[in-house]
Amino acid sequence: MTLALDAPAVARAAAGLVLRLPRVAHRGRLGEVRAASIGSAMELHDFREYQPGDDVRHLDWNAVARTGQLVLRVRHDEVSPRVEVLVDGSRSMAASAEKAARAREVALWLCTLAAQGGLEPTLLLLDAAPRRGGSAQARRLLESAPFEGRAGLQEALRQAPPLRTCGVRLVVSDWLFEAEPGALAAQLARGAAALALVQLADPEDLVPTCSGGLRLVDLETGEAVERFVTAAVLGEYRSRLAAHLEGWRAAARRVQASFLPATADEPLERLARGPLAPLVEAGR
Amino acid sequence: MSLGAPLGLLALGALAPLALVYWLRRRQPPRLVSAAFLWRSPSHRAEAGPRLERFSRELSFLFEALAVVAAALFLADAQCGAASASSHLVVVVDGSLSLRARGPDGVEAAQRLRDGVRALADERRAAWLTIVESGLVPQVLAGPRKDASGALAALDRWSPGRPRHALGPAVTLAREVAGELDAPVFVFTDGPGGDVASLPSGTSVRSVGVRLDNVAFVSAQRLDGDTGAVLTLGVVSFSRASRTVELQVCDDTGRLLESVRLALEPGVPAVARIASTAAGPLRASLPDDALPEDGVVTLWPARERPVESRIQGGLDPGAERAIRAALAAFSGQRPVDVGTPRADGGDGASAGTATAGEAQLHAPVLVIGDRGSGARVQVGARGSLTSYLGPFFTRREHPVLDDVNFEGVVWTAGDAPPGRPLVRAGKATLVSEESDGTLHLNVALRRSNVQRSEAWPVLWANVARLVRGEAPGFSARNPTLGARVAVTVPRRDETGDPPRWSLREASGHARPLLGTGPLPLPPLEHAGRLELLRNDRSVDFVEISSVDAVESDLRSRGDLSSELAGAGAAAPRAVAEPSSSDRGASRSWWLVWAMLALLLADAWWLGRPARGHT
Repeated sequence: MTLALDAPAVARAAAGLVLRLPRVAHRGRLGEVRAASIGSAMELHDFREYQPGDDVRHLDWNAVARTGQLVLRVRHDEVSPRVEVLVDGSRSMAASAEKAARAREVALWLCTLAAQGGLEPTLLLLDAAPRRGGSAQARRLLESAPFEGRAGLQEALRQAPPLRTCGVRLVVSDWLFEAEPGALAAQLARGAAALALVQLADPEDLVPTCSGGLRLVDLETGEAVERFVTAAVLGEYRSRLAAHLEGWRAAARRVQASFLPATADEPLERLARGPLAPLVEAGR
Repeated sequence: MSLGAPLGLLALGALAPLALVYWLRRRQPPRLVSAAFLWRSPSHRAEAGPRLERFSRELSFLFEALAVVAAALFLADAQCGAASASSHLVVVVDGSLSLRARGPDGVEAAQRLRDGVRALADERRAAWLTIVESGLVPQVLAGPRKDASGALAALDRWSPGRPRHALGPAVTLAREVAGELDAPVFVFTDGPGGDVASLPSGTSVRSVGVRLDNVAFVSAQRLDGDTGAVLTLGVVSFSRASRTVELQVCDDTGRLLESVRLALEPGVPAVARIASTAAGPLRASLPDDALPEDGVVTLWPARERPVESRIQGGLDPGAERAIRAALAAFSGQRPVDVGTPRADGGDGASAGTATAGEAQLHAPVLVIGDRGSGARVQVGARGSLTSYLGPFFTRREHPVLDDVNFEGVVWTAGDAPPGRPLVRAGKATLVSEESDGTLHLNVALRRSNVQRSEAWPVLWANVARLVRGEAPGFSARNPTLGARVAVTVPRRDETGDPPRWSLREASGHARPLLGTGPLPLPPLEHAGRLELLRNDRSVDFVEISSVDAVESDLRSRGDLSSELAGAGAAAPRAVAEPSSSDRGASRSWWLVWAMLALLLADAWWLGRPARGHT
């Protein structure tokens, strides 16, 4: 029986690992600086735009006088990049129980890695009712994730709270939806120093094994297609899938993001050492 | 297309479960996929959202549905084209008088004909019949395509009795009515003769007649004179041996007036003349034999139609005297009635009462009056008078001017009268006729001598004859079968209401008469009484006797073989009779092959996964 979320497996997969952060500082607008390393030094690192909730005592009034905008002095100890983990909560992520479980585990694993590295992970579950939580709420959110979303990731993002600027944005999805890859990738990359697109697909998504006359219904849109599935039809599917995924890879490259495909039938530990290894590094 | 076993169409009920299966297959639990858009073929339109997909297996469903339909049609014994025609029987029955002949067993040939048609309908499993009776004017007895039971019932009510005629027109009519110009036609007659040998191809002739001896009247006439009536009767023995028969003449009460023994040689006419002082109808009869209808004739006395003349007041006294003198010269004239016209009308046709069995003869009326009086003949001159010595130009073809000689006549006329000129002198119109038949004599008799010439009585005799001829009634009194008679409907009717004229046959069927004047009738095809009705009251009648020498000759009835053998190439080809083995073969087996082909096509269509169709 597949567990909804194997927390011990997540812990084992996360043991001794931390999230790999980008080495090159990425300058965004008005000092959205991602620290190359974290530390507790008090030296000023840079400025950034004031955001509601920030301590007004850290406002740089000189910069305010110069620019007319609220600028905050970013202290080194504040330059602690946020990690945003976006989880596609659409119904296709629950095409199989294994796929759903793996999605939860990967998301929790990423949050755990971030926390282990002293980062502040924020989990954004893009479900029918988007939900956001920190590392403390991540497990609970994921365990209760229903994967009932009927909208694609792009539509879900429109309905979700706006993405925050962060250091690392990790998106977990199967990427099997119709969208303009370039536009969506650019949207996801906006405000993030580093972006990683994790594809989690069911083996049946990648290599269907059905045959005969079938009525194929899309899990999310409800679109029905009647096909008599033959070897030729399966070949056509695989071709279209490969082209579709290549589109996402190309889009990721354009925004300097990484596209990491993984299959849900492999345990998390193997994924951590395999296709998802580029995301992690040994912890200190 | 026809259906021999309509219940077989119940097999179409299999379409319902077939459709249900296809419908349910569409509603089977679908296979959920993460990305349906990756399964679309290029021909699919990319539309978001759920949509109703048409059957992708509709071709297979179509094959199977058509196979069900083919099976149902086969079970229902559907027949098309020539095969369909076999369930529709086209029959021509001979309507001639000879079909009334009774064989030695007492059964009429007509009854044998009915039995033959019924047997044929059963033999060929005919569901519909078109039956046409032959005659001088063929008529449809049943049809087109009437159900067999109704058609045979109509045949049961049918009774022949028509004069001799050709069968070809009836065959043509039967095909046209049936809507199948090349359909086989079955002709039932009682023997050869006529145009049997020249009937069109596709005609099967069956004879129900038998050879019989018969003695019949071949002619019957009555001449009435001052001393009584003289009957002239022609009798022929259509027998193989000499015979002696007794001819009897009775009056209308049945009292025997005369009895004559006739020695008859086979085929040699014998004439009997019988005088009688009886004034009413006389009935001549021969002993009953195979065809009793041709051994009885009833001869009515000639119609006495004296013209009733009425002279209106206002005429010049001299003219009135001259007219009276002219009219008195003719026998049969009723006394001249001087005075105003009768209040109830001019011709008195509506005054007579007629019972169902007796006809009143209405006297024709000649109304004579002054110019402008509205009378039928208006005599007088108006305006400036001019005398004419001739030459007189006349329309000789007009019956009023038959044998009228104006030589030596001095005719004084006034202004031209209305109507078409009949007699002219120069530009002056002396005699004219209006469109309604009103005659104008534009003459001032005081200054003329026409009333003293030989033209005067001849002219008035022609007028009386003209008026007599315009009286309503038939042109003949005792016609025989096939005779042509005319019936006269008056142009002028002095009564207030426009009359309705109609003819009533012996069967009771009445049909309206349209038109005025002498109206020729079609050849008389049914014996019995034919009545002329005015507003449903009998005005005149004729008694049609069953006298037809050809139909009375029963010696050659029955055998058709000699007729067909002798005709050679002109003989009608008999339609192939269906054999017992043909009954099973008449099914549309092509429907079975079609069903198998459809099922094979369906199996092939469904079993194509190796080739991967979309």
